[in-house]
Amino acid sequence: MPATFNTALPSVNGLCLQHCSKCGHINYPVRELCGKCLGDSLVWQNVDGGGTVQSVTALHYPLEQNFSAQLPWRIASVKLDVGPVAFAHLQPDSVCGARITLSIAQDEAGNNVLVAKGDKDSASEWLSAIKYTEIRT
Amino acid sequence: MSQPASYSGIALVTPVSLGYSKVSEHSAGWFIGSVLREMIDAAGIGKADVDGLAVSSFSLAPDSVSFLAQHYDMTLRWLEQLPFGGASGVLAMRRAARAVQCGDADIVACIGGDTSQAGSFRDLVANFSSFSNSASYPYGSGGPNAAFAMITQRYMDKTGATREDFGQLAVSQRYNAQHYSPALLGDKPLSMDDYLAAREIASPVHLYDCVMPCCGGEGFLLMSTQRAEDLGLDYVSILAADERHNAFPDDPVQLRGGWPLFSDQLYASAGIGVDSIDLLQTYDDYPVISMLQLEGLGFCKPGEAADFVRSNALTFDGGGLPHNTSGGQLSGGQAGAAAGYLGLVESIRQLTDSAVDNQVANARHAMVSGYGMINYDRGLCSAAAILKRGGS
Ligand SMILES: [Zn+2]
Repeated sequence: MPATFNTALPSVNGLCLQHCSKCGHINYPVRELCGKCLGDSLVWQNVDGGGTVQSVTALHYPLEQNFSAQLPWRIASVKLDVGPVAFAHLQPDSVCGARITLSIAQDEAGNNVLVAKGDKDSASEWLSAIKYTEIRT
Repeated sequence: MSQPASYSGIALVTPVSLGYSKVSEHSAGWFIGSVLREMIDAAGIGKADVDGLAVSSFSLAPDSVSFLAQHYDMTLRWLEQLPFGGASGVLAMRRAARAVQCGDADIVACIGGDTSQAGSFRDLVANFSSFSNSASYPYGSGGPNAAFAMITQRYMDKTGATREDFGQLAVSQRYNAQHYSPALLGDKPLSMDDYLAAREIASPVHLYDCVMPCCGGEGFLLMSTQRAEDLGLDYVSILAADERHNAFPDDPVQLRGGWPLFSDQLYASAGIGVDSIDLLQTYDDYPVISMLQLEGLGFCKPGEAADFVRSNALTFDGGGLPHNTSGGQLSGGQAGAAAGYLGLVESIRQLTDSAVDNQVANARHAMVSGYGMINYDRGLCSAAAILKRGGS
């Protein structure tokens, strides 16, 4: 049975993260209280998706079966200019140290996920390859 | 900042490791209770003499340590459950030591135990934490391999460490495991060529960088040195111990745990230097994490662990720095939360001369390190202890 997961990200163009209207901190991963001031006034806000690839891995053995069609699958750890570090699906031609733009896209199962795109425009083909397990209902 | 008070007067006794296999029909409670039985027998005490119980387990739910008191028909006056993964053993020891020093308990059993079935590792990983469920697992469902592959890649880029350097750890631990019969992979020799030829799991992590999930139990009894001497038990003393959680949160990739925040004070409290450490047990969920412990605990400078493992023998009988002398998790298997007790239990064996074929000669001091709980992109718990052979 596929695992349940929930990125809790909204469906938007570009990148939208939780902004604290009390202290201004931008939070990720998604949470209920601001990680800096512990206030509960987090609001979704469009933010600059610019960032730098810190590290990359190519996964050969995902734990979920549904991912097995396009292996190895590359993901990155990205340090966003606005602060947080995020894991994201990585466009194939991007490497460690590269400047990328992080945005929210829908995978094949309709989940909102983070994708890291480099300069080159190979994104559309790659985005359609992002599969993930269905959300169990 | 205040510093931990002395751990004087505390004895660690009766190291027990049991039940290692890939899968089991037994529950976690079987592993934990079996360790308890073996420890009581080894100490020559009755079950009623144990009045404190500290337990770590990923597979005990829906039961908890309080339910175990009824399972095992024990009336206890001190309980602790420690969900700290690979840091659990050192943390259990620290808390139990304070309980005994303060009179809250006389004899505490500290036990890590987990069962394992087909698919149980994936079930654990898929719902390990809210952060990992929302921000890690959806990106290819790599589990810990994904997070640690990215730490390993960044470490290699930053320091120039190579796969051969990680292989030094894996190969020497396999040698140690060949001299420790419970180690699950102890009957399979591993050469550097074997290590380098292994298949890639999550670049740059290959097969022999990964632990094999399994089941098993580890434990020790903690009591006063007076009680240990009255019982005629060989024991180990705690010279110093400390822990940090979520250290250096602004590092974009975890290239150091919490150890640099307390290792100088740890040696100062112990009254010995790093040169007096006769054996080291690191938490080796991946070789790169052992490298971070070598650096964070002062065995070498930050970023220089690759050079250290190239120039120091790491086998139990190599005359260098005996490291993960029972094979660690890489060659012994990762028995869930019991893996967080493995290095501590092995150190107690070594410092009481109760290791069998892998005994380190003339060992007086051991360093035990713990690391655990990947919430998302890094392990949050770091701990370490310096132990000393008991008696004069
Ligand atoms: Zn805030």
